[in-house]
Amino acid sequence: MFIKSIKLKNFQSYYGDKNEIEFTEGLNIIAGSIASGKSKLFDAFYWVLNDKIFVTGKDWVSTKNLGISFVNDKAKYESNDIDDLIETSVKIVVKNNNEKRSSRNIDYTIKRQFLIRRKELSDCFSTGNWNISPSTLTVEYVDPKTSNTEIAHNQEARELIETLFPSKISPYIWFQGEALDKLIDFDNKGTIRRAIDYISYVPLYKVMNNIISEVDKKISNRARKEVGKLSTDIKRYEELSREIEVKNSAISNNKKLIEEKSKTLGEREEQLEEVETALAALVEFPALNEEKREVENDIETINQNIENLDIKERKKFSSLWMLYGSKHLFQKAGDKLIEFEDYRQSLINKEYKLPEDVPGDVYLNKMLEKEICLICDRPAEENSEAWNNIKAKLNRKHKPEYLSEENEKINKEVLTFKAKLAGLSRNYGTIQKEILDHREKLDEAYEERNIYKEKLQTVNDEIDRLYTKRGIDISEGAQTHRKKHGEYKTLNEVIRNLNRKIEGMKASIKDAEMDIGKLEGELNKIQRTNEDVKVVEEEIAKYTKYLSNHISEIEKKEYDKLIDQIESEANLSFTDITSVNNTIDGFIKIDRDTFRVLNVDHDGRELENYNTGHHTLMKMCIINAIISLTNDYKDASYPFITDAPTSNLDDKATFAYLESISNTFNQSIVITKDIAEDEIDDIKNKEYVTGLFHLKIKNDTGNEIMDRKDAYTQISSIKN
Amino acid sequence: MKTTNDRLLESIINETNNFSDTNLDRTILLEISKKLVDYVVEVDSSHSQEGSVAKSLENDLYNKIK
Repeated sequence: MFIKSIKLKNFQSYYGDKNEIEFTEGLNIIAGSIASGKSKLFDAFYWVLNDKIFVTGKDWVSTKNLGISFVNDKAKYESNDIDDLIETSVKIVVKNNNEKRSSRNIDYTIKRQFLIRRKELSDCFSTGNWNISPSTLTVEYVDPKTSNTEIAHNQEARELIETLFPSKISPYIWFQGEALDKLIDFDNKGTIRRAIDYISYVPLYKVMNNIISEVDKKISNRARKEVGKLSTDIKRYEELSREIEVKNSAISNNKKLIEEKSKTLGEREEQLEEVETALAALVEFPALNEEKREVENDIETINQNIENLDIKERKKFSSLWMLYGSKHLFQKAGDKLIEFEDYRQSLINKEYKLPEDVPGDVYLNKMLEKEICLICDRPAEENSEAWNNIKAKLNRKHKPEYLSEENEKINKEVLTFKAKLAGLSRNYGTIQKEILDHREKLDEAYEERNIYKEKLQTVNDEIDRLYTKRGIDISEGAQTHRKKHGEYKTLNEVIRNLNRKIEGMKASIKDAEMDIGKLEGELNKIQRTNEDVKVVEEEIAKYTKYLSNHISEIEKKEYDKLIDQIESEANLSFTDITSVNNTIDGFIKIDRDTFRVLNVDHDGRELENYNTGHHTLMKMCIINAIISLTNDYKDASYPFITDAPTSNLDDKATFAYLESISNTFNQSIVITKDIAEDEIDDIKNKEYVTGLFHLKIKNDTGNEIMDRKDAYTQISSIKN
Repeated sequence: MKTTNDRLLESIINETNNFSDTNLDRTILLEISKKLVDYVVEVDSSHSQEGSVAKSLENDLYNKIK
């Protein structure tokens, strides 16, 4: 089978409907520099068949999740009116010459179409401004029986594609450089096994075993009947034969059940592998989701704390702040009161300044009463000059007007106020401390919040990175992980139970076989009436039994032979390529127990320090071998389409690889940036290159800077 | 190019060469092997039932030898 042509319309960087490549059988190379539309071409092949596009970091993404991103930008930009319709489509014509009968070698035109209609005139690159119709698939062909043109749609079309490009082989013929590790995981021991099952006739040994076992059972029954007729103890012989038949029947039933259970087990194990792969891909989601939730909770708690501190500040500290703000005013008032007090005290001091010898009031009153000066003992009659002098001395002690009772009361209040002011001024320190402490707490809370916000940003960045990588958001990822984990546990339980049942049935078979052995031993002890008579059924049964006992060994031998062949074929390509590249050496070895692909030295010892390039090259060589053997064993060929396969190889190894695949595949389409423009002529002249095309990004504006709204890919056919 | 039939038969004949516990002629063993392989290929290509072809093979063998 080979791809005759591909036609792209408004697909990614391919503008309009003039983008067509007609391929040849043999090696077709599509060269172009970075961002010239190479990977878009690979996307086109994959999209038309699988409705998916490879997005770096997101793996394969379905059309329904791509929005309008893969519709040509120039076409979108040129849309000016509401209801403008843009068709994006890819059409490939495939010639199927794998069928034995030439009448069935017909052309299939496979077309996938995607329509968008403008609904808003704002930003033409926004998906929201377009109505999107789901993609449609058709396969058109001429029915060889009726010569009528038939068109298969959607599901029917998908089934036809499955027959043309079987999904079991497609991982080996669709090789996207960046996705190689995911497409072909040789660390999974089922990968090589499945490849062998598909490419070879090995699975037919199971069919053979089932048929010959069934025949053996029937022939052996017949043989026993015939031998029984010659027996000297027919009754006993028949009894034993019946017992053997019952045991054989039980064995058959158990084998059938084991086959069914093993098939289910295989399916469940495959499902488990898929779930494990999905879990491994999702492992970061639950932890990140939990971390995000915890950080958000912490921020919420801090916000609550800040709010409480704010409220407290507003309520309590507004009055304290005012008080604190009036500090200077009160200090001035206090100073004034102190001044006043000092002034008053000075007046009092002045007023009360009496000589040392002035007697007290009691003494003076006594002198006035006795009308005598008790100091000098001279008489002082009432109203005499001496008496009046004594009286005057007594009166001098009377308080001045400003020291009246009323004024004293006011003074007392002033003093109280002064004391309060003094107390208040002592509290200013405490208020300030309290405010500063509070402010510090608030600042700490803000700082803590900033730290947690940074932490949240880091978590969100990680989440964005994951979204870019996996194409799903955090909650969906965590939810899917939970779901997958549940599936994982259930599947493990199911697998354990199936294994238990299978082991139980195997033990029953073993017991029954031992019983049959004993019964047959007893049968053989019964003598025949004529030992010379040969029973032909018995002779055939010996052979059918021999075959049924040995088919599994034959299968193993054939299987090992195929592994040897894959290894040997792979090493042919590997040696071709590594012989021109000094940095890669050794041989490819497939470990027979683990099925891992190893790079080994002459003595079979695994080489250390081989890098991704080595590993990729080994995988590519194994792919070559598998496809080569498929062509050989299945007498069918498939086109090999690969993007960026040689990015890890140097120039010489690249050419060696290209030559190697030209020998392996009837048709290969290699998309590569590893052929520079000055190498085009050189590669054109290589015999093994049958088709050569060049991709270039250009625009019609003459502007050197390629803007998405007017740049497009131009295809040039150099050799075909 | 070897067909699947050729490859299956070749492997059985190789194994049969080690079988000696019979009085049957080796051509008969070869007949049995050929028939078996034919039926296996029939199951693979036309999805015949294994049980059904086993019955046919049994009859073929019986008739041939009788």
